[in-house]
Amino acid sequence: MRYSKLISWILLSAGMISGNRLLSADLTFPFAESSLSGLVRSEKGEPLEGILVRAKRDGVNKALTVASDAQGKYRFPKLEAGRYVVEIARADGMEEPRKSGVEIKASQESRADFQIGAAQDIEQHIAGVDWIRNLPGTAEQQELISDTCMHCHTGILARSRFDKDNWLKIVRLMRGVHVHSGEWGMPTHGRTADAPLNRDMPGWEEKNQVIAEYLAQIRGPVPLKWDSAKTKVIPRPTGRSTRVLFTEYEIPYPNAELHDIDVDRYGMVWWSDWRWPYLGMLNPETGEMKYWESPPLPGKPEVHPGSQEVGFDEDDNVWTTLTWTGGLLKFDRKTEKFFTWMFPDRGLRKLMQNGMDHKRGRVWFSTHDYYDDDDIGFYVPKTGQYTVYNDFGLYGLVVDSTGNAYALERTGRGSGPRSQIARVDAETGVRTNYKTPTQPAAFPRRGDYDSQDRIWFAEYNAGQIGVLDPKAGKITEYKLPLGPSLALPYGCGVDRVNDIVYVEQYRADSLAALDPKTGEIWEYLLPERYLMARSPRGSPSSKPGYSVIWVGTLPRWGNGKLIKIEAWYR
Amino acid sequence: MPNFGRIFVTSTSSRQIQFALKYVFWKYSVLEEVQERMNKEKLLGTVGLVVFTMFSFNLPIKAQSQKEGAPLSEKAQKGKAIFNDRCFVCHDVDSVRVKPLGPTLNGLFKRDKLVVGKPVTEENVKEVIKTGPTPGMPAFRYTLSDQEIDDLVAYLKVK
Repeated sequence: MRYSKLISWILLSAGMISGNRLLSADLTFPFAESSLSGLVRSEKGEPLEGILVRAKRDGVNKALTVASDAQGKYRFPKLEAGRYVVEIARADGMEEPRKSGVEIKASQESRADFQIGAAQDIEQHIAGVDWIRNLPGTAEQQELISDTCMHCHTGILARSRFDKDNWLKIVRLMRGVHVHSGEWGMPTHGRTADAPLNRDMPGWEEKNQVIAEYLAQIRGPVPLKWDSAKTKVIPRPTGRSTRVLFTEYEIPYPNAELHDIDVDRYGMVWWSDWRWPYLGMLNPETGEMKYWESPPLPGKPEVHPGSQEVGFDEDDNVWTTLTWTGGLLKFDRKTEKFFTWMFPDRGLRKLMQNGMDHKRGRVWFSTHDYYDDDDIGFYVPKTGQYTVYNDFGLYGLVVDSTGNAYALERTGRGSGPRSQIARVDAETGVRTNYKTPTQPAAFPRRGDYDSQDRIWFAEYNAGQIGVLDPKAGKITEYKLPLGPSLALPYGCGVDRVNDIVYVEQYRADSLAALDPKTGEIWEYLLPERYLMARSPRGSPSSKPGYSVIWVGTLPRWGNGKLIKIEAWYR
Repeated sequence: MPNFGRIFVTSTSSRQIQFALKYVFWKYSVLEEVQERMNKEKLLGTVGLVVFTMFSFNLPIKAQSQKEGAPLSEKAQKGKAIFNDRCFVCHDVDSVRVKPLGPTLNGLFKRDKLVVGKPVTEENVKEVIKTGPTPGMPAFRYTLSDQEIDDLVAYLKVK
């Protein structure tokens, strides 16, 4: 039997670690039984809604988080007995205390109340989106840091202090090299073949100086004084946004960086690692996590072995990209062996997304040569042949359920911004461009398809969710409540059971949800700040009115996590 | 500023070799002692470095989790968290072959000298962490507390 090995492994692990079983499976909200509840109130005794409370059993790599309701009450489902740390996971702008040694017993409901005031050191209790907008200085200075550093680093600046000379070392490194690439340490350069290195460009060092000067003002040897009362903080969740349960799983090796994940048709959650040559799988039913190391690549000495998007072929084998080195990686589920396919030019190139055309046995990819060639194409494992389509100024790539590819474009070759979705028909190979209504720099970033093969995408710069209906040939845009400067939606994932669309708001560490049937949008705060989570992915275990969504995280400290979001959104 | 790219003009017809050279020059330019050597050497020597680098990157990659030895003291455990948070982006402690930007810190306290030339002592290592004496390494004196640096050194001592 094709999956016998996998299934027997799953059953075995279920038996072996039944003590770690998820007791929260198949829940309804409110939970029928609870092991822990309590009240969250302000210093004045008023109930606080939308405060996230985490419970983590000592010595276990899993934590659960719930949100307080309009009465300030939070309530966990049934938990395994043991000693727990119960803490405020997120109360942006407020104190976030923890209680250790909370005893949870099998037969009774324990209680832990919290009374919290404004955070004393508020800079450490707000998301990146609030940090940058509350900084002193001119709009130009804020924009400089926002644009230069924070499209990746949402929080590390706020946790570091250096004088100007030492910030300068970091700024030169970050602006001067591709830290994350096949040539880790490779100098950054312009997009044409003969382009000089960035560090040789006029004004490069001057800009470093300006950035370092400002960083030394805001995060220098002398701490800034933050005024809690004047600090603007994103709103807390209310109403349906509090009917949520998060389960966080720590990745079982250090320094994990989960850029992309996906959920297979059995509900197993697969992660690739941006930094390590690992592919991993979580069985949410048992909590078991396992990971495999892919072998070094022959003839590719400059390899940095990280991966990005994850997909599944018609035989349920797992595919991901050799992101920095220009290849595809297949994990055979039956034999647990890896197979690699390198882009044939053997040059230095990135190979980012992948997507599956099950009918035609194609593995789609996007690739970039570190200069000006942005292409998409597909590889056919059965024949070993590949096809490339040139000139896509892309960021993301979505392949729908019937194998049509959609490049999410943000720029044209040698030109400025150009936001459009370029569709390549699976049968004819014909390309059709659909411009987003917001031009030119909406920046469609990452996307997903829904049950009707409409293509949903996050418009990062515009703070919107976009959707292309290929049948109507039309793109519709939905404005996110946080607005363009704060929302910064990075990735988009669809719960295809309900066709509810989720986008990850990068610096707010939150998910926005959209119901296309009603146009309603609501938000969930993720249970931690500075997660740098990318693309959410829906699980087939969603049910009507109940979404199960997963994200992977790559924090620059702590460790990567898989986070399951169960949302009772009706 | 660090001496980036002094020899980058060594162009060849192959973009890939060009990149490899650029990378190696950059990588080693953050180490003062190696930079000294680079200054003296000609192209042939640097090609040797490229070959060495290429070879070394082909060695099997092992994650830290697979190489844990004896249990760490509470202090070293805290130091490990700080290392993973602050140092890991440039340094490794377990011969992890993912192109560290700075020198490996594996076996640091078994060496005679630091890259800055001073003997390897707790005080000198702390001094390096606090002051960032090389062109690539920032000074952590305002980011890490004395206690955190103590913990970090406790971790480095057992690696």
